[in-house]
Amino acid sequence: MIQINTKTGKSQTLNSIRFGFRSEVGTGDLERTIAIAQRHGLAVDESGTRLCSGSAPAVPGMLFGCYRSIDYDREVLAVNQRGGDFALTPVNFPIDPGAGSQGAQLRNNFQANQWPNRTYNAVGQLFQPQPTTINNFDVTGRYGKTTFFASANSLNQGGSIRFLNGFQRNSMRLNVDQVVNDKFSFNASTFFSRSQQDGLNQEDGNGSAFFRLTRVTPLQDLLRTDSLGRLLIRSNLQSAGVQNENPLYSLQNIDRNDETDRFLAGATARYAPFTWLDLEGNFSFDNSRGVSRQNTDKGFRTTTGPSNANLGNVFRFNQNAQSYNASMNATARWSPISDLRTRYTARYLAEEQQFSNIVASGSQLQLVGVPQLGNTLSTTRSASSFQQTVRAIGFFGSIDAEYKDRYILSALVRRDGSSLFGSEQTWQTFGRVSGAYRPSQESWWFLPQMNELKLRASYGTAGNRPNFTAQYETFSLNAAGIAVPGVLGNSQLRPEVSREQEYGADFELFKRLGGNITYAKTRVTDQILQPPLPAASGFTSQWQNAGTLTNSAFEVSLNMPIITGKNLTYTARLTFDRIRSTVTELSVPAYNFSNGAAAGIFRIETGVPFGTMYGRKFVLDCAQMPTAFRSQCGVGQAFQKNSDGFIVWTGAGNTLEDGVAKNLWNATLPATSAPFGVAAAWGHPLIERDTVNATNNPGLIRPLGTVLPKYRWSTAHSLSYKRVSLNGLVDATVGKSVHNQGLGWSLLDFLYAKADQNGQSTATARPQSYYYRAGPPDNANGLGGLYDVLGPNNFSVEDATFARLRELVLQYRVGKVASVGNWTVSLIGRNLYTWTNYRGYDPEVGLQGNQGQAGSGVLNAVDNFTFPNIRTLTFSIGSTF
Amino acid sequence: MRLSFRSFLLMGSLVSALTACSQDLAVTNPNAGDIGRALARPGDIENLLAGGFNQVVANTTGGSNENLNASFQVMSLENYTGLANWNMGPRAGIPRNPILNFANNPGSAAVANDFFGLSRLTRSTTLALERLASPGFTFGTAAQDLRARAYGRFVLGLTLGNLSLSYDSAAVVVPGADPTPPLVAYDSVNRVAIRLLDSALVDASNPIAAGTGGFPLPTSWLNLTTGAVTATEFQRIIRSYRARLRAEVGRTPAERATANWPAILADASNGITTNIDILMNATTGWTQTWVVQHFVGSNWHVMTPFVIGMADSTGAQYEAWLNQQLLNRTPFLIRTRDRRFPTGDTRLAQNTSSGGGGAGVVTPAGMYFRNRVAANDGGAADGTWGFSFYDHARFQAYQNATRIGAFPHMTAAEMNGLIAEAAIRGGDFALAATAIDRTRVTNGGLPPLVGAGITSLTQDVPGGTSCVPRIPVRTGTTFTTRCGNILEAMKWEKRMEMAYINYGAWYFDSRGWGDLPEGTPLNFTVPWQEQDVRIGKPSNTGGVGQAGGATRGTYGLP
Repeated sequence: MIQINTKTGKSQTLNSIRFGFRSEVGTGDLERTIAIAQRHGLAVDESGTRLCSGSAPAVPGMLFGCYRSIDYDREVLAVNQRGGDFALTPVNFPIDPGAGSQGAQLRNNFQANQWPNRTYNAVGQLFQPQPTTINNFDVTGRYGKTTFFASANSLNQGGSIRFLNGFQRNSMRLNVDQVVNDKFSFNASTFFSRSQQDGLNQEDGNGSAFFRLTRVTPLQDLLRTDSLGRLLIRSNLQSAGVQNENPLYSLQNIDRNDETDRFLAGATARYAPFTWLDLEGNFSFDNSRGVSRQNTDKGFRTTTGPSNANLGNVFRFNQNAQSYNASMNATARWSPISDLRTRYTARYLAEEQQFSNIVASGSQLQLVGVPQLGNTLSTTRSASSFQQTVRAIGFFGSIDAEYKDRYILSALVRRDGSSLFGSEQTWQTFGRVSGAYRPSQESWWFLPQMNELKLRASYGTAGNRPNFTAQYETFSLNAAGIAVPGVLGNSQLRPEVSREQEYGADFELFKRLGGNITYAKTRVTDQILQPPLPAASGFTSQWQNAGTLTNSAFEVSLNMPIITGKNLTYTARLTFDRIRSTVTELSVPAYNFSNGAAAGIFRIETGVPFGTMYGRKFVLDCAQMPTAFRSQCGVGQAFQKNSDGFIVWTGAGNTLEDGVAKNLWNATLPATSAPFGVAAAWGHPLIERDTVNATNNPGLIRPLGTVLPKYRWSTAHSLSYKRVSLNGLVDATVGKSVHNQGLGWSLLDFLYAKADQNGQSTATARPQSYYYRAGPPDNANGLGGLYDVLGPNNFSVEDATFARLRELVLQYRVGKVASVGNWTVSLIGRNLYTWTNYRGYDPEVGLQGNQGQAGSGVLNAVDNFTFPNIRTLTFSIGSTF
Repeated sequence: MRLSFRSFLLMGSLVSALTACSQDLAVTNPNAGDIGRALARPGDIENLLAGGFNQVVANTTGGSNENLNASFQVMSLENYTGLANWNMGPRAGIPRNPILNFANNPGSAAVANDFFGLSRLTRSTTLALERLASPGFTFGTAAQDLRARAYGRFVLGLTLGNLSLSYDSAAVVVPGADPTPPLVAYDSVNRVAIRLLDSALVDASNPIAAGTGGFPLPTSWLNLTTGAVTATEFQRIIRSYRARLRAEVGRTPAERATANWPAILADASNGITTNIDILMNATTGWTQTWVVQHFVGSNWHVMTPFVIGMADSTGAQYEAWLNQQLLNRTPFLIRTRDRRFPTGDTRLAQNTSSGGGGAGVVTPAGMYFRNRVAANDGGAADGTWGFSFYDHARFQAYQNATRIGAFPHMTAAEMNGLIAEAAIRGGDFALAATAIDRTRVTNGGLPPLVGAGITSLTQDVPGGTSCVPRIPVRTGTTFTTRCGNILEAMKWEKRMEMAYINYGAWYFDSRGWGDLPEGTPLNFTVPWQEQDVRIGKPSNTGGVGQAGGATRGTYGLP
């Protein structure tokens, strides 16, 4: 539904006009970065300046014979310079990140070598803070019975990524109010904006520039060019460099632009035929048009080739969204007795939303510099379209009553019809009743210090609509034009009904300290879920009203005007909330679902808190060991806890520091003697397994954490002294977990910061096999390292508690300058600092877009290279005339 | 009550607006058809049926690499990679690992892909067959109805047959089945598949099917390079599949021995006589997806010497290789008289005879393997049993053509192999020799078996000290090699000619021949996602010394 709330000129003095402007300029950067290993495990020659090339030693543990070596910088230039549209194949490295590295080799290798050449900070090379400017001009006027407000705004956020121009938006607004007579008035408002953004293809997830950025070794100079002035496409010579091209190359050479126009218009007419009756009609329109293009020209370089990618590609995306809504309100007021005021409202609402898009693409351009679909190879072209219409009608009736300003009652009933409901469930009825009591208004009130107390309670029902496709049975057409069953339709699909009881109190102490406390308990029945179906049904899944979700929420907010002097004021505000959400009933078998990055990480099951992530656990406690091994676990025993907190096999009589001294890193406890029936490599983490209920040594799947925080709080402070004011906001999220998949990638790339053994002694150093990768039965050639093929486990799912200085504004009110205007200057900082132990870029992270049943990026809580929040600092100046 | 003009105007406006806005809340979804629209007309049902073979291909060797075929390849030593993608790395490892089948394990999607894809296809095909069988329904003519039924039963037989090869159990969805039939064991599923192919054959052989609207099958139904498929050709294809499904369902040598070999012989003898090739083009929905990854580099594909080492005519290097510790095995130069391998006594010479040995280079006609240039070795994989100098490059030209063009779907060599195996099991060594020589001599350039006087399995193939294949013989922990017998010659030909072509090309045969490394899982178990829905218990399978794993087999491989 469209709701336009906008500025008007109603507050303007009669027959006057006022101009205002505000300009803001600043820049942004990345507040936090991730730690990566600054030492490597590659073999170097005796000079320490050249990397050995060639094949791995034939015998595990045998020292590598460095018969050939390379100067990394020269080799990088050679493979890039001499290649045409693709880089040449570089030399091999005997120890190299990735699947080719065997546990037997890595258990004898320590990541402690200094890079032979200069090292670089890839993050620093990719981020190039650019200015942000905001200019706003407005005019407000009131003449006779006409008032108006008009504004123009220009925003240019240059962003902070090299080769990208960021986000630009220009917008205009015009609002007019006209009073015809004392009974009839109308207003109209319009808004138009045009925005554009580049680089959308480079955010979020595997394959983006940001993904590649986090996989850059310190040896890579991303800004280096060859003699032709081309950025080096294969800046990473190691095998991982095949898929991890220089992230700056695609930023420089893929032209992506997304342009959006938006137009909103609304008109409202009010008619008050009697003093006790108001009638109002409204019509609103919202149109959004999006045009996206992505061009990769012929000659695009790749790390290997030849490849069709060298021939370029063209992508076009057009979308159009329109919403209309019309409503009519009738509000009657009646005071049947003294001190009793009642209000009766009837409302009718109709809305329609239309959305459509067309996508077309093609690749393998024939001509250079002609980014047009007709220039692509005809067999590569593809097109698709999507169209949806959503309609809804609502009838509302409500009664509000208030007696002596202290007894307040309200009731509402609504009848909703929606095309999103199943065809057999089109109309639904919901309602709400609420009451409030203000004992502080009573004559007997005995706490004068508490000048206001309002107790309130309410009970209401509401319906959450299914998504557009949920009710429909879908047969999709595949590339061969064949109808393939998809999701089984459900014409009986109802809205999920939320029944909420809410209790609360609003209070004010000493006529200054205000606050409120709210407790709400919500039971969502007929929860709309998409459980899988048996394969024999032919369909993948069906949207069903299959569950009951019980939520409880507790919220507190306080507003504390601590100092209220004439020149000095200080106000502090505090909020706290805690939400619990659990599936309490389920009418289908429990099932797992994906978040778009890790298959089956979430589970819908009775009694399980919503948003719980599941995965495997490394053994952290002796109690996780099989019963027969618990007595061998502990200080001085055969299984001991290392400094990372993992229980590892040391063997009786050995200490955790004996790995090098006694050559124990090469020891393996055979499966027949090891916990869980799986061979254990000395000093390596163990995965907890089920030896009771399952065969063949699977890992136990355990809850690892929940994406919903234990609680959140925020605190805002406003301090002003005469003309200077300082406002700050800190918010915090405590006890939420994030699946840090980027951490998994860093283990694969040998870039995990703690894998860097610089400064460790022979007693404390750990070989590379400790970090990469898991051993049998999970992987063929590893030993039990922490890399778990990116799967969620209790190492990669981590606590992402944080507190963030969200905003800090220092403002000085200059007043008139040369007797003109009312000037203010401000310094504004956003996302200035984050307190957290989270190991990724940003604990406030989540996959974006449609991620299946997880629904939102916040719930997904998967750190899969989404773009972090940027810290910005801007200066603002403004005035009115 | 008398209304003022203004009140009348107001009421009128309200009524008009309400009426105008009382729009229809029924909205259709124009983006995807429902069952009503997908099967609205007889032609739609025929279209649904007609797509069945495409879906069989898509859910076995095409469509996605997140499938079982990538696992079958490494489990049977057809391919080697340590990459964890699609769980190939864990499947490739020796000692063999169990197939883990629990929520959230990294191999979940690959294990589930074929099961769900094929099982769902059984339902949509059944749906179409049921509509076809409903009273009064016709596509137009009796011949057209019969053609469609033959094809539908063929697709259903193929689908259930592939499920019976890959999984320990599946639901049998056929016309008249329950909405959610129970899971039954693979041998029962296989029997139903064979019966469906029997029925398809009867329909395709019915003279009425040759009438107006009947055979040939439209080109798009099988999308073969030879175009429309006549009833006779279709019958040969059905019989070829029936022979394959009968032979390959056995999990162990004992089970394979119990197959109906006379029937297999009859079917294979009356099966396809030349390769059937599909006209591939991803844009039109026909793919052999693995090829994309195959040619990415030696991280994704390399031939382990375990099997191709049998081509080493000297035997000495292969034998030496077998006797090294698994992780000590360095690659060796295979010098062989088999023409499908490059020639030369040095790596460089073999690079040259491979057409250069570089990435993307097409090997000379008839040469299936290339000796890769050392620069493309990929480095770190060296020093393990998985690594060799050799890539399977037979389909490089297809890859270079952006995978548009002919790609074999089923080979005549497979039928020759089945004929030979059935003949050997029946004691007809002369017939077996003839069938094997069709590729052994023609493609491999190896000495013919015909005329070599082979009358038993105790005789070696001809070739003397340079015989091919040369077979590992394990005694305790030591390996020697010897010339293979006629059965091994048959296996060699099947492996050479079927590699990277059909679903489980080496795997299904190898388990029935007892050639898999010890502990290799003998099939996949029903995916945990399906067991969750059925409130069943997912099970893992395989691993050395564990349930569902192969015992130490013919070659004594670890």
